[in-house]
Amino acid sequence: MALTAQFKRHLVQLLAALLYNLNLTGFTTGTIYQGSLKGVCVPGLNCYSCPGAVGACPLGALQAALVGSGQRLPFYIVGTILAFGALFGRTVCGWLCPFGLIQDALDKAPLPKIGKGAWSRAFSWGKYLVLAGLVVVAPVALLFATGVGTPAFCAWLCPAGTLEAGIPLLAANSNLRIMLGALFNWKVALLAALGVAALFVYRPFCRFLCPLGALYSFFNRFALVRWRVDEGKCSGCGTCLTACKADVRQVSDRECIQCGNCAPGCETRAIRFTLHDMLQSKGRLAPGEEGAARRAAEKDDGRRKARP
Amino acid sequence: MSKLKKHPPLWLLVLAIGILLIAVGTAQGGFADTLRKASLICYECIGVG
Ligand code: SF4
Ligand code: SF4
Repeated sequence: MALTAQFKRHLVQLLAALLYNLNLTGFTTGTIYQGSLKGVCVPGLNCYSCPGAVGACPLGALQAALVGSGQRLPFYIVGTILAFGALFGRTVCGWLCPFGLIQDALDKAPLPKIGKGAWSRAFSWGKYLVLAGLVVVAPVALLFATGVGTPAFCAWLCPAGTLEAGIPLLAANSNLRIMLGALFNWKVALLAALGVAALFVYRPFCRFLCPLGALYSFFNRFALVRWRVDEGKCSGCGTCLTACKADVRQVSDRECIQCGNCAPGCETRAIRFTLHDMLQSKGRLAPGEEGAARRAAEKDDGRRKARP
Repeated sequence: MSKLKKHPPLWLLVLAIGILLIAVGTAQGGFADTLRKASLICYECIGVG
């Protein structure tokens, strides 16, 4: 039996989650991995205090760099985000993020779903507010005001930290349990609320709150690996936008998580995965050139046919 | 004849800038900073800090 494209995507998500969290013994000992790989960021949202984590979380590392490196600019982590963004854009969200995988799994629950609309499009700006407010402004402002730089997104909002790090570490490590308080209760309540919301609304955290998705969205239109529409083939029917559960106005715009759900429904097969094209034929036109090339060729053809 | 792009694609330029920044940042101690932070349990992340 042939595997469906979405099943393959879920396999990649699962594999990425496993690769990010290879330190499996950490879950039983209640400790975290401390090898030198930990200085390298993984592309997805994966808490570096997760007992399994073998790499760093780009958002945690960014906040730490903003408040912790004295007068230095955070070149290392900004370069890392630029590199991941240029290569993958929000393909990270659709394919390489463990927290995205969890929400995809919750979305499979056979429950009534609340579809997208003007409300969700408006809420989708929330992630940019979280990025500006909690990832950049609050940590730096707190550093100047109190002398202590708090990674505000990690501390007050990040549900991945609660799920992947807080709960397993506190379950396995009694020394940490004595430190429990109101902040932990708040974070567990938030995680539970997001989990329940994900049963009814497609990927609520990614669409409305995730600052990493917000960062990668700036690269989504030109990243190397992404879905793209061959304009020469697209009939403009809009079937792709109807099939899409995210708040996109166009395939591969800032809201597109590059899941590929829209591709099979496209009757003219205009939606193509750049990686697939690259693997299939080296030496073909570069992504984005096919539509223009086709139109130019058709024009050329037409001229020739029109000639007596 | 179709007009082919002569300039490098944008993703390649951004990737090159990213790699350059990673190299500069590593030389400045950015890798070591990230490693130090990620090797200790982050109390804020787990919700007790
Ligand atoms: S939006 Fe954030 S949580 Fe969602 S898949 Fe992307 S990086 Fe992961
Ligand atoms: S436009 Fe297509 S690839 Fe992008 S999120 Fe929607 S269904 Fe997924």
